[in-house]
Amino acid sequence: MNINNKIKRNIILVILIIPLLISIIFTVIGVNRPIQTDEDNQITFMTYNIHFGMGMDDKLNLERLAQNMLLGDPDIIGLQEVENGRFTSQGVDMALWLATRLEMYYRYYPAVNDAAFGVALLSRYPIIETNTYDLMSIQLERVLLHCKLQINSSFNLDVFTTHLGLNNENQTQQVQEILEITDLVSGPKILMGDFNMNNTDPNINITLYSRFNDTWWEINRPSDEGSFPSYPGAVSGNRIDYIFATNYSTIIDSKIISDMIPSVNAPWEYGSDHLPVVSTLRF
Amino acid sequence: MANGHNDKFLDSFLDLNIKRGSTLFFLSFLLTLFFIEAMRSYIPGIYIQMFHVVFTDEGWTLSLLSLMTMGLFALPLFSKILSDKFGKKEIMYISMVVVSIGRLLISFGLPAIIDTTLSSLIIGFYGIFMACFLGFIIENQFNESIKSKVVGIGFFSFAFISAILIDFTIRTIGFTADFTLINWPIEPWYNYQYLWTMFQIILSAACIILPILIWKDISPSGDLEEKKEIKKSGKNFIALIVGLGLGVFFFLGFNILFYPNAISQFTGSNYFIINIIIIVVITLSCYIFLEIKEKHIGLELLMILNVFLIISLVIFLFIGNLFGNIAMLLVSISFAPLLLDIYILLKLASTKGKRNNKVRMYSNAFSIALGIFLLFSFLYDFTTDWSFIIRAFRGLGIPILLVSSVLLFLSVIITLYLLKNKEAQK
Repeated sequence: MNINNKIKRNIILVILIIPLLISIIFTVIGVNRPIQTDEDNQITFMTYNIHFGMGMDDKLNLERLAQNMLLGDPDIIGLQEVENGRFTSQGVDMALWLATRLEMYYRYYPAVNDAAFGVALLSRYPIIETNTYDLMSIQLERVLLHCKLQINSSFNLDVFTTHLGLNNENQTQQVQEILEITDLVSGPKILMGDFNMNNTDPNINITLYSRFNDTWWEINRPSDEGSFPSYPGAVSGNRIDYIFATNYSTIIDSKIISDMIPSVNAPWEYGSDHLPVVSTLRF
Repeated sequence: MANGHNDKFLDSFLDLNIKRGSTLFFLSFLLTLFFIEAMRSYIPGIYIQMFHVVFTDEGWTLSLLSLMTMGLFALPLFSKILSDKFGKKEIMYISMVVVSIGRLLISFGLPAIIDTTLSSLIIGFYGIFMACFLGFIIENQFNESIKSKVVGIGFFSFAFISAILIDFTIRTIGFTADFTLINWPIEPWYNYQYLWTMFQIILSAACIILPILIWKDISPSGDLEEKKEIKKSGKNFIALIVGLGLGVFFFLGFNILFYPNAISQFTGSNYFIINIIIIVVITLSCYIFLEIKEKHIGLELLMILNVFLIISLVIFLFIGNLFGNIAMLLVSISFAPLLLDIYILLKLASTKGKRNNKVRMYSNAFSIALGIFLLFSFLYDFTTDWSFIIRAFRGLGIPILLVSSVLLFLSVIITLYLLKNKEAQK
């Protein structure tokens, strides 16, 4: 082999290693988790049905979802319709992606086929305990995710996130199951998610209200602002996403984030067909 | 002089004219990369359009039209007719332009329906490009001293494997739907999606301009007289076997294996580690492919590698969650024989058919491959995520994957048997 070919050969073999090095560098960059403790016990919660990462323009865009979430500056996020590794969602682990992007800890629990329609909890606080529950479901499976978070050295918080079914009989049963589970936990609790019912439904305004406070309603009543669909605009009275709470001190604020990009009113600004609901509480 | 069997592939490639060789490699690598990206986005796009049609909301008629883009997958079948009418060189160039411009348009963030349609155009025209390109390279119409078809097939196979490697790397960096591990300081944030557009403009322009640099080096169309077939030589069977092998390769790759998250989900392993291990294996596969001599790729060795492949897939599919890390390692290592199978299948297709008929062989095989990919992908989807529509399909997802793995194994075994027979006849 002549010298020229030897040099070319070595160059090619060196070039081949570059993709691997780049991949390792970018992998190492992303695997850091800051730990945040909060001494004043003021925490911002968000619930967001992310519709498999698909926005109102039918495009998967996790950065857009992250930007939508950052508008609320949440500390703890409950997500619904989260997917992991499904080829129909381009094989992304959405909970892992969003947690890395937002620099949070996370837990994920799938509802269907180990990869689809799941719920996730993202948290700036360490997650010290996790329990998962399959709820009685017709058609699509529904689940409940329970995480215990270490807010600081003297305060742990139990957070539940769920996504209820569409069938009315099923919803009643699922609410009962959820309350049986949450009743096992004493102390401050948060229950949030997509309940697929507005608050005129007895499952909400009688059953759930008997145990929890609807944080958005406490601040904003009698407004009938909706959380679904996101575009062309939330239908009044169609508030189906909730943040319920017990044993807290005060509700500082609660809102539905409906304007993702000021001066733009187009489908592409919405990362999902739902709007995120945000509540800030002090414990 | 590159004679294939007795030289390492890398040495054979280095014997090519540097301008022509590097241009050909760059073009086949880039166009394959665009094809891979289109395959990754097509089924998700179709899935969303089907969602609108099945649950019948506004605009479902447009969604229904986009489903018909699957018909574009039959485009490669017309490669021979088009190349006879307009010239093989011209058709190959047109297909390169369509693929490049299609990919460029996708990077501009157009509506989802247009993206899906463009993806299907890319896939269909890539089939035409591949058939013509392989036809040229095997028939030595790039004016190279390639004395062996083997070097030509090896050249294209290496470009294909390199494209898979770079696709994994791009996804790790985050320029598609996978990981973005850094926050790009772009304001406003919604312009972030156009970051890749700048690169894509350059890449697409290269694919359109570079062929012109070597245009005169490509033998004019119609240079080779088509000789009358003396007897039927089983070309259809070969196209079927090659198409079957490629089709299930596409199905397994673009549904499970090319997604580290899917492997992670099956095995309960860590995504980051799986992703890096797969990239290591593909890189090593590239090195090994370049450094081995073709004559050392013995049929016995290939048989052993493919037995390892099928065993790894079975362990991964059925007991992956019990032996998580072991299954993860096995399936990652099985990328090596999987990628080598591309070369073997393409090589088989080069052994049959008269001169100037390779285009038809590859175009038929590719169309069959796309048909099988679509069939198995929809079957898999209806047995998993959409199994609530047809209850009887519930739980059949893993058997579908197993059947496809067995079909891949069988097609490769038959290929090896036919190649062995061919060598024995020489």
